[in-house]
Amino acid sequence: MLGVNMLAHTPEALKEVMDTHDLNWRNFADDGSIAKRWNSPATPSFYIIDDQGFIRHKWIGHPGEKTIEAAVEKLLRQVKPGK
Amino acid sequence: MPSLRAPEYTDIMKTLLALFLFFLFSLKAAASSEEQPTPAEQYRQHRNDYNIVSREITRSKTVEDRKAVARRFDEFAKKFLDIADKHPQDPIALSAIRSAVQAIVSTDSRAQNIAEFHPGTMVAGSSDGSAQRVVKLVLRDHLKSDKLAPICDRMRFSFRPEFEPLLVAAIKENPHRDVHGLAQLALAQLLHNQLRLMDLASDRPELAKRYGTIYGRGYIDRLGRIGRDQLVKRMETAYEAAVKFDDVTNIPFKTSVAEKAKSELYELRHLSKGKLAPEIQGQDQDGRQFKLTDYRGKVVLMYFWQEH
Repeated sequence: MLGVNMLAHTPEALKEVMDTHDLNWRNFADDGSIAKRWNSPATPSFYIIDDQGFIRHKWIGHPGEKTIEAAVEKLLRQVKPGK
Repeated sequence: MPSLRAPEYTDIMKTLLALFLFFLFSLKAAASSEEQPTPAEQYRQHRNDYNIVSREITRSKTVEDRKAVARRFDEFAKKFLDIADKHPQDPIALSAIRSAVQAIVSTDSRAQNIAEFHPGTMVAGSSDGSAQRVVKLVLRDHLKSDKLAPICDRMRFSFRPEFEPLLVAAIKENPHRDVHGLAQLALAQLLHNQLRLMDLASDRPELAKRYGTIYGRGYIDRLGRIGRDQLVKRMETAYEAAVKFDDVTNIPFKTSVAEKAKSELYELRHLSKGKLAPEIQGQDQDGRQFKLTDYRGKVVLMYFWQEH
């Protein structure tokens, strides 16, 4: 999982937020340009990108853990071996 | 003891009577003006009450509470429209219509929220008649008004096709550029919102019926009869027309209509299923530079979040 925090604009600010909440996934520190490019998604929003770079799922709002897990599982089974 | 001579007695009585009558008339005049507040005063009173109810909803803890509050928003739409209907020449009429649209949108979005996240609960949206009444009043009294922009702007957040004729008419006949720009953007976003519900209902068929109770029976079916491709085409055309208005700003957020339209078009064309994800580059929480494409060959879950 890769994250984009919509409020922390620098690596320092981002690290502080992550330490406060004990979070451990990798995030982009966004100075606003990422959010702008992705049309300021409402939070939380999720995109699943497959192994070839294509968007395969998109949710504005939380669709539930099971939905996300099922979608990721399905795509993992399709990843070409040896990559 | 000398008795009061008749003329003096009469004078005093007359004066007292005159004073008494004057007092009565003053009371009545005061009472009359209290009974008939000006349209602006009526509007302010309703607006005040509306804001109080809005605050209440953030405090309501149960779904039943929220539903009760949502029903009250609906009553406000009617009250605002009554003012605009009776006093079309009064400048407050446009504010009243704008508040009615806001109340309709609030009722609908609360109902939609409940429909999507609380499957066991019955929901009702804004009364069918209110949206049509908004359109009727604007077409009748305010179509060429230079103050129509805030009303069009509010419709950006609606899902009701009833508002489309108003926006189309404003685009065609209103001579003011800001109205034209905002109506164009609002039309695009209104169509976009309908498309979102259509897609949600195709993922979750049980939602189709619920959207029907909010927006009118057969809401999703009607969209289906128009066809997704047609809807997409109309929406894209409207966004593309909105892109011309870089000199008109969105009302709450102060970005230009053009910017918002471009952003939406970009999302439609590049950030949807099947599209190649755009590159992202930046630093992570440890200051290390990295890119989305570094993860090519892996399945990536992108999560846009903010802490609460």
